[in-house]
Amino acid sequence: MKLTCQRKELNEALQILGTIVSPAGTRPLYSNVRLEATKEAVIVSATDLEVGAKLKIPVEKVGEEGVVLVPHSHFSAILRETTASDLEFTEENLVMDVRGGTSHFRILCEGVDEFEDVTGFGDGPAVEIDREALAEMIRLTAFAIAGEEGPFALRGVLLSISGKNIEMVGTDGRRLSRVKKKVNNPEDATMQGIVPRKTLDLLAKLPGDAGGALALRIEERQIAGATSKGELRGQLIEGQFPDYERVIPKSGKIKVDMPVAQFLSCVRQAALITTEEQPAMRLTIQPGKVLFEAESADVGSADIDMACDYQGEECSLLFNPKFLIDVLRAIAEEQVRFEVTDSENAVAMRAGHNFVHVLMPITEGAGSGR
Amino acid sequence: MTIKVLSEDVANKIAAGEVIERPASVVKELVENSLDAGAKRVEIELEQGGADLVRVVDDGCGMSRNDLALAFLSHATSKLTTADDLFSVTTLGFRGEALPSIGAVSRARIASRQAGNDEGGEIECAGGELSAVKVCGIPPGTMAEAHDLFFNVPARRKFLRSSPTELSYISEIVTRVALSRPGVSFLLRHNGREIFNLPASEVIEQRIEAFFGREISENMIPITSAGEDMNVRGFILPPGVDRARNRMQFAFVNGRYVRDVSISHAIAEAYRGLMAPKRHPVVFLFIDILPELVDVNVHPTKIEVRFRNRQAIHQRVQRAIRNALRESHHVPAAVASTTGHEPVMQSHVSVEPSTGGFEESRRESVRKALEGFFESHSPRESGPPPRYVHPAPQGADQTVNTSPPITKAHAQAATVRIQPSGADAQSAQGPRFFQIHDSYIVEETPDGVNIIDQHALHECLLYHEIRKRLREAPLMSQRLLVPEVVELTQAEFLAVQGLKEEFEKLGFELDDFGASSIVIRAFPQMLDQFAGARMFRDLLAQVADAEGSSSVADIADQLIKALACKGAVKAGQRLSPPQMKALLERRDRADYSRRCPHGRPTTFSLGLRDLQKEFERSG
Ligand SMILES: Nc1ncnc2c1ncn2[C@@H]1O[C@H](COP(=O)(O)OP(=O)(O)OP(=O)(O)O)[C@@H](O)[C@H]1O
Ligand SMILES: [Mg+2]
Repeated sequence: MKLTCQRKELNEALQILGTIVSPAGTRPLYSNVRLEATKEAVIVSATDLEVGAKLKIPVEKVGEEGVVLVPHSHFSAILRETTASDLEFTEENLVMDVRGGTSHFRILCEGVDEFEDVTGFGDGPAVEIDREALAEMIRLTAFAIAGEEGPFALRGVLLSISGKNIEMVGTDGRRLSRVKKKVNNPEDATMQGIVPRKTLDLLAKLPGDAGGALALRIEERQIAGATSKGELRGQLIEGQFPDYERVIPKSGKIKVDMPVAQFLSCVRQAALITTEEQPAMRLTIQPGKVLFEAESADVGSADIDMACDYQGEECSLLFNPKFLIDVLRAIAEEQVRFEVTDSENAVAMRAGHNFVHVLMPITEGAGSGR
Repeated sequence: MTIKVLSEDVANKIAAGEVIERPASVVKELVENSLDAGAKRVEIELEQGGADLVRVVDDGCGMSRNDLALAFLSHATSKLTTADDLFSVTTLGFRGEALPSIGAVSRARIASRQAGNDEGGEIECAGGELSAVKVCGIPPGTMAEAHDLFFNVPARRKFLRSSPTELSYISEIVTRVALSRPGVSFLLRHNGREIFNLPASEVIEQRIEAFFGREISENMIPITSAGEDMNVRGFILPPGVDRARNRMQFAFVNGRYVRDVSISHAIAEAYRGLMAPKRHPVVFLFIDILPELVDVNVHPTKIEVRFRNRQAIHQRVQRAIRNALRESHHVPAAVASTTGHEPVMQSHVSVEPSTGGFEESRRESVRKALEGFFESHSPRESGPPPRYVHPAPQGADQTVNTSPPITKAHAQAATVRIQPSGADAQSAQGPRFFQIHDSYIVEETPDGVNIIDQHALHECLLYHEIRKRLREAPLMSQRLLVPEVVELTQAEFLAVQGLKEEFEKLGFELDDFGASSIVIRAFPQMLDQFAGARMFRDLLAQVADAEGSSSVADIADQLIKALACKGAVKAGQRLSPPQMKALLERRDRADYSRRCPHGRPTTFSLGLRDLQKEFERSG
């Protein structure tokens, strides 16, 4: 193999693949990236057998085609540390010389025989969506999914496509985010799957042209994505996603419009005084203002006011401030509509036409009042 | 001093201690009698956990009035005649001891009619005092009841537990019997409330589903192994559908529930390498064996048996399970494959990934931890073998013979410092602690060093914090968007009933949902992640361990311990420096921190003096 390639682009590709490769020492074969030189481009790919990505970097000149496995850790470190703008790669008998400026590295490679390469995007009905729009949908939902201890089916975002609509839902049982957008669906395909966190992160990061589209297909067990510069394929989570429609309140008794930035700032301030084990903050909506209060036996207390134009009865709820911070940070709109039914039921936070976040309050303990 | 022969009454009271321990023993004996009488339908009625009343009604063969007169007499049985018969017992009872034992410690009454007779008879036995047999009207079959258990043995009466607890023992007994006889219908009522109503069924599956829910019934793998003198059949559950305790291992020998070490061991062996640490498989085993090959007369409650050939049993059971696991692709070879298909998950029942996956990921995390540790804390030589061609001391590397000799330029390679991406760089003057193996925190102290078990310390802090907080108010509850339904065994269900208030104080909001399911509407906010049914069952299992001690306070304390354990960071969990700092600061504020609630130490300290001694420095 022999080629010359821009260091910067290859470096970026390797950074993305870095989230996929297995840490050295666990599955040695898959701590490598596959580096292939074809006539038009260099293709680097990596997989952990759950998710894999294939990125294409246009090259100045491919001297000789070929394919090898290169250890990701050293390869990416070299790309990071060297300063030359172009690097020249020459590989022969599994030894690769990397030259750039005054530096010269020699890396021992491995053959690709046993490596299970990432299957490409393939054929079949697919939809197209703006890359940035998809990244935004992921940002608005992925934070709400369950962690590694949580129920299985909730460890990913439910992605559904039907007609011109794409919808993503993430929930951990206490809060839920749903966002909808439009897609280009030429074959009018209907598809659905639960996409794990790692794959979502990669989808959001998959490089492509600015303003370009991303093609998406959900197959029986896998999801595939493709842009002009890369392809991705990952396993779906098999499981039954809860019936989420019914947990989204139709409309609350109390509705208040709040400026997101100020809301976030108030919650953050109140959160400074919460206890470690039971972080709780009281949010009280009163005529003309919203009050944020927190108290901790060891530290002290906090109360912060925020003006708002609300004229109705008073209502007060307890929340884990972390959950409010998570959603407020994700919202790009300036205003959020806060809808409350009562202190024991879910509140809905709506931003724009397409986003709703549902959050369950904390109660002071079922054992207290009854 | 004169030697006296104990009256039969006294002898029976002593013997009763062995056979009749609590209401559940009465239920067991009476139901076994019904089954021996060929009953197709058995109804059990209880009051106050069986302490006030146990009544068993069957449609079996019944007794004549002559039989009735003998039923309460010691060693009166219709099931054996000669001692040799003891070696080929095919009935559940054979000693003629149960009824006299029950009659000695309760107000017992039996009414019975044989199908051919127009009239039935009845007899009473209160505290060993026999009545005469009277004529009475009753449908064919037998009704046996025991009122006021231990009314004449106050010491034993006092030891009875709360009625939900006694009921949970009974339901355990009924579960076992009902599993052994799917063809018999069972009805269990407590204080008028129906607890089980199990129609007769050709197959055992329905019954398993009725008791243990769909999580179990839908994942069962059948096992069979037929042989000349022994048949082994039943169902096993794949690794992943497992339990924190081994109570979900049922073994029946000739229709009798038994506990046997060689069977337990065979089960454990069959699953060896497939189970996550501290998890136990779920198994239903039915062994049919020639009666002469098993001695049932070894234990007062007949819960243990002695096999003539233990090894054969062990081998058969182990093989049958192992084969089934292999055929269903749960053997190591399949598990170890790296394709990593996620297992199926049903509606509200979480099935965890197969254990091979568990182990693998655990191993992986340990390896990662070690690696991270060595990369950030030890001299460079101990890192992974370098993949660069280093300037070798003598000439070229042997493995790369086609490459040109290494020139001076290569030396640069060795100077590239590769920073492991995950390493938490601690500033030089920052706090003097770090984590090793993702499990321990090493902390510099003014006069030495502390090595802290992160889980034990956090658990200890939480335990004391929860207790302190509970003195003022209940814990906070995080409500759930979709209430979670948890199917429980009847025994678990009853245990929850008895502990409802304690659960609520800890922040759970629970409601009954059908006969043996509960709905969780809120859970303690302290638990950062709510893992649903599985976690709830684990909590229950830990609490069940405290059942030996009787006071509610003790059980509540056990629950707090279990919650602290669930809420604490786990061993193997990587902590960020701020997280470690927060933990250590909390420790500094706390009163207790040296031992976790289970009594294990949280901290191991090494003084400078000890270090100096070790290094033979004279300090
Ligand atoms: N429900 C019943 N229907 C018909 N006969 C019964 C019933 N219960 C008891 N008997 C008769 O009463 C006898 C005594 O019962 P008991 O339970 O005391 O002894 P057993 O069952 O023979 O032995 P074990 O002490 O091992 O239970 C039995 O052998 C049986 O003949
Ligand atoms: Mg009997």
